[in-house]
Amino acid sequence: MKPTIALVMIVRNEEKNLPTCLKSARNAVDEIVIVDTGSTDRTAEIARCYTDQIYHYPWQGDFSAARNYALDRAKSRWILSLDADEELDTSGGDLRTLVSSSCGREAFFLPLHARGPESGDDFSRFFVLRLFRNKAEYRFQGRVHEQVTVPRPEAAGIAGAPVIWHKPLSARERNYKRGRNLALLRRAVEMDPANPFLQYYLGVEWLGLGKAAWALPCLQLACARLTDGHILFRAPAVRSLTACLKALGRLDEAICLCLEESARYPTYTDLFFDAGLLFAIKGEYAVAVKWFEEALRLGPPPPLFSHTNGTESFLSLYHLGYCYEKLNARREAQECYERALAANRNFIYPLYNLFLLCLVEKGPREAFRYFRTAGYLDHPRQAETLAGLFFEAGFPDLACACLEEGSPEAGPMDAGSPGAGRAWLLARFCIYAGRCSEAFALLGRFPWKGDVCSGSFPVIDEIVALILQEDYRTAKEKALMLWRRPAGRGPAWALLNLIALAGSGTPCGRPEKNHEPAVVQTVLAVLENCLRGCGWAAPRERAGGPAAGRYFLLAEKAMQFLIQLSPRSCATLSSYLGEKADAFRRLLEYKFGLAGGFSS
Amino acid sequence: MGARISLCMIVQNEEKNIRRCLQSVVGAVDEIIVVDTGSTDGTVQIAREFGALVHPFPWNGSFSDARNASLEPATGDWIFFLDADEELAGESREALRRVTGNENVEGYFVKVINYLGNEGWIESCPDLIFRLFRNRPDYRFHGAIHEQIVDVILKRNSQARYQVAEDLVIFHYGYLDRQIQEKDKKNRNLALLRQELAREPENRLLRYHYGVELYRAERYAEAAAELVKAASGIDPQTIYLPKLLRYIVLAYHAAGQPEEALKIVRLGLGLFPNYADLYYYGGLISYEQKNYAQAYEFFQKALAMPEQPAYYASFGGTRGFRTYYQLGQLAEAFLNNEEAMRCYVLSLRDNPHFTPALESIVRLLEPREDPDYARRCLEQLCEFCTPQANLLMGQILFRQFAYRLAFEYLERGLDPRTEVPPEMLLWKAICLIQQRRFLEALRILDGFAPGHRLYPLAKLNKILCFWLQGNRRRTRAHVDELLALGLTKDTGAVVVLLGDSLGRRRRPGPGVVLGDEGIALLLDIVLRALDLGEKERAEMLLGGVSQECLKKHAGDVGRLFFRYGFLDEAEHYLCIYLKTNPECAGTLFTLAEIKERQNALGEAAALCRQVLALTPGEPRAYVKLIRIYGQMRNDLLREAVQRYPEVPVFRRLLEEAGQEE
Repeated sequence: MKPTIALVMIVRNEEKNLPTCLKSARNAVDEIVIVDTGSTDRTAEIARCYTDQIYHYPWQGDFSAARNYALDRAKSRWILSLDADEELDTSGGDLRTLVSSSCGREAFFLPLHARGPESGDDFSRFFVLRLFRNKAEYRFQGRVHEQVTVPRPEAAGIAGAPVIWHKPLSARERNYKRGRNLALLRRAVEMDPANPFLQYYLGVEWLGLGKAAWALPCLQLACARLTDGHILFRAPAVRSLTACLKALGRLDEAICLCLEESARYPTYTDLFFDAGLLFAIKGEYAVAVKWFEEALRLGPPPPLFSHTNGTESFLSLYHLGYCYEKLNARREAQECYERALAANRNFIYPLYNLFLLCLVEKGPREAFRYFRTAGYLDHPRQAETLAGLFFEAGFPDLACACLEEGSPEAGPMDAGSPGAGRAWLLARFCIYAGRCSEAFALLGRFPWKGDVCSGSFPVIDEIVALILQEDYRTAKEKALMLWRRPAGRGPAWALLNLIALAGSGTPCGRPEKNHEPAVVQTVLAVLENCLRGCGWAAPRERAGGPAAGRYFLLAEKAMQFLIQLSPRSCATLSSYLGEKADAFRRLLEYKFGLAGGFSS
Repeated sequence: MGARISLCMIVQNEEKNIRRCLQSVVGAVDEIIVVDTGSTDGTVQIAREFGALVHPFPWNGSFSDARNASLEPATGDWIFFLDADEELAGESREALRRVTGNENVEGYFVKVINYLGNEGWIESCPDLIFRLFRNRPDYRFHGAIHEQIVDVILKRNSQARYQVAEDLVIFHYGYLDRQIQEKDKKNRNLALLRQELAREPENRLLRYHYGVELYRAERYAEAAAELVKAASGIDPQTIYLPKLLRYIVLAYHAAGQPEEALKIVRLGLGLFPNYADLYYYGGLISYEQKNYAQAYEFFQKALAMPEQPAYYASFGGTRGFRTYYQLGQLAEAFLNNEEAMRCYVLSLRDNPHFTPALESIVRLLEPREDPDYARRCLEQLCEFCTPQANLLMGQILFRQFAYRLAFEYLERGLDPRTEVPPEMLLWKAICLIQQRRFLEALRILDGFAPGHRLYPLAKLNKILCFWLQGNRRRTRAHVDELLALGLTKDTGAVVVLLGDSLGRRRRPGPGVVLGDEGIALLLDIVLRALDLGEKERAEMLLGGVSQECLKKHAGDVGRLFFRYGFLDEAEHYLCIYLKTNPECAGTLFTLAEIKERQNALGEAAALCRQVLALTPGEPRAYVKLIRIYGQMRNDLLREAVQRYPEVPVFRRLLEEAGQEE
């Protein structure tokens, strides 16, 4: 009996991606065919662990040719075509069940979820024809964006599962691929300028490269020529054209396009979302609200329509909340943000808006109680975001509480684990909440090792804590250790000066010119954090930890230092203070609307 | 020959008013019919002087029956109705003739200007009332209290057309003479209305009047319920709907349901988008809820409204002085005294009798700190040509503790040839004390005989004269005399403290415990001492109070010291208070102001942030923070100009910042 399903891939230099891909698919298929188009890394070696059907095919600048070469090598009744940066997710339904109940269909569209740069549920859904009978008439066409075509549309089915997950590309990879595709596409378009598929792909590449003006004619032509029979292409083409017009600032045309196309596809959720965004950009919030509400009412669009995950829920809710805020309907806005966060806990942006809303409405303490009761602190990412926000807003004690009072799903705090990052964050907030000894205890338990990611270890804050404790000797030692790291020069120099100023009252000399910006930035950060630290205690007495006065004192030293350093640092400090005033002015206007104008 | 007009009235013992009323209509109507329900004074004679037909009609408890009795003998084509405490405006005499010439109208609503004597100034509140209609036998009044005729006319003649005769104006003085109604009379009215309503539960107008009476009887929640019932399903064309809506708003507001009140405001504005009163009350309620953004928008809208149609019966000043005053308050909440002053001045210009605006202006001028400047401003703003005006200003200034200036105005306002009210004399004496003119003060205070009701107060001020001069013997003597009068425990304790505080040695022991009354008096005396710069004396006095008691009131004490510029002492007392009340936003804010004046700007900012955290709905901490950071920046720039004279940018930035301020 013939094997049922073959996984067929073409690869080049994919040693990083290939294991994940093959692992995800190995049990779903009976045969694996891999064609290598000239790898110089360990790709072939890795592939050999999964299959012995590995072939070499010299690259000729034609994807279809390579793929068809691979197809010719497969023996199974069905072909599954994947790329190395994809994964097969059979949790919703497997391939064998699908093909065994194919009812005479010869091919299937499978959902492809293209992940965005954010983790979690940030993805767009497309349907791609990747599963088809192994027959001579089903072969790839096109040098780039090669596709298999099924002449009889009724022979192709649409499957909701399994799902193909596509990894996000790093900016470098993406640009490399864009450049490569662009060259191939331009050649193909020259030969076949009326081909709407090629025009569509070309438009998408130009748009991706930020050349909206060049993308425009391609996408216009694609939208005009593609018919509803090609909805797989027409739907994303329309959305790309909208995006293109938006990028060119031609908002009214973009809106017209959405209006026309939403009349043509009244269940295509994403169009309603796009229209809502456009109206919001134009400041017509009341109209935007209607479009977002329609997107929410519609739910996900029908299959085959390319779809950005969330336009039917959290994305629309997020923007709807923003519109309500602009319409001064804060209660409605709050509800929208809450619903958005409930729909997708990893989509963090609504939390920023919700935080500001609650802060000005309820005050920090009441806001904190609200976030705790509503369970936001139990989700590690939300808790850390909130902690950061409370800290930025000048409430380090509440920032600590965010990290301490939730019952995070994350595992125990270990050095090197995500828990260590959390402990370092907590230590940092503790320092400015007047709890230096706790901070030292935490940092002692999760010491910094030069080899692990150093970004989140609060090395500067630790030294600041030592200064606040008047332990200048240890502070100096640590600062000198920092000095030895090349990137640590500027900050170390700044800290050494602050140590000297706080200790003996005299600075210890000028930094090299090229370090000055880093020095100023560090001192400014210390100043800002110390001012934050003052907020928590009634002036004068406070038991335990450095007295509030120590923070004021260090803040004063920091200012004094910046004034003395150079005219440039003096100007930086001046604009920092101006920015502080502006920040409160914005907050006032946010809270009191036009009445805020009374303040000046 | 035009249509003939019959004036119909019902009267009882109106000899004081009826002449004014009848004089106003001589020649404007063709006959006068007066139904007298039992006058025992000269009312009937006066009516006859004006050629009125007087018909006696025994009072039977129904206003409608009496009114209908006045309609019976009328021979004119039109009936015009006035009450004895009303008068037809002189300019309206022609209008009366003109509107009765209109063939197509069955009746008119006319404008009634009610004069109210609230809170010491006279203001007018217009209303729209049906008072002029064709004389037809089936048009008769009904209803025991709020006798009505409109619905009867409509019932008889559904084609009947009414109009509003805007230039027909009646002045109503009734509210000035007496308090609107006495309590039992209100209850009687309510009972009568309730009975009527039981008979006619569907009568919307009756229910409206019932709701209004409930409101006047301060039964607000019930009033709101009845008024809402009267309004539900009402034809939006109904002439009294705007008034009804305003009453619902007022009733809900007074009943402590501001959210409901605001809902009605919005609903009402949907129907009458130009109704200034709804914007005004919407603003007022939002302001009380501390929703300053919304209050601001409402008030701005109120000011932008056009002339109000008569049937809105718009409350005086909602498009002017009242709203300006509220905007002034709003500006003060944002610490913008300049803008507040502008608003109060606009308010006062719109209504020179609106004392709250005047009082706010005086307060903002800080007449205690800078009397000469305050005087110059006030002279520009007001005309002090009457003694009353000077006295009023004297009182206001006295309440602001601006004793020197208050004294000037009191002197100008008091006529030595007539008897001076004793309160004013006492004020004068106090003003003299606060200028250290003790002899003159004592001369006045000696004028209060032991039997006088103000004698104890006069005596206390005598004590202060000697106490402030450090005269222990005289102080003690007067203290003993005053104590002999038999004072309350608290007052007595304070007086004893006064006597003892001049002693060389402090009395041992835990100190006096004072109740609220005693503390109030003590703080008054501390204020007077601080006003004269007698800081040590004030502290000596406070030293006699128990620690516990002082801790409890340290906030008020601190604020007093702050008001008179004793920053260190103020900080001392405020910090004592904060120990037991660490979350008192008001105290923290005062402390921030102290730090700001001491130029400890970092600490001031930190305190403001605490205030912000405790009261995020109050703008003052935001504004203060903006200013503090602005101040820090300016200080920095000034230092930079000194330090780096060769860098021009600092000088430029400093100048720009100066211009912004």
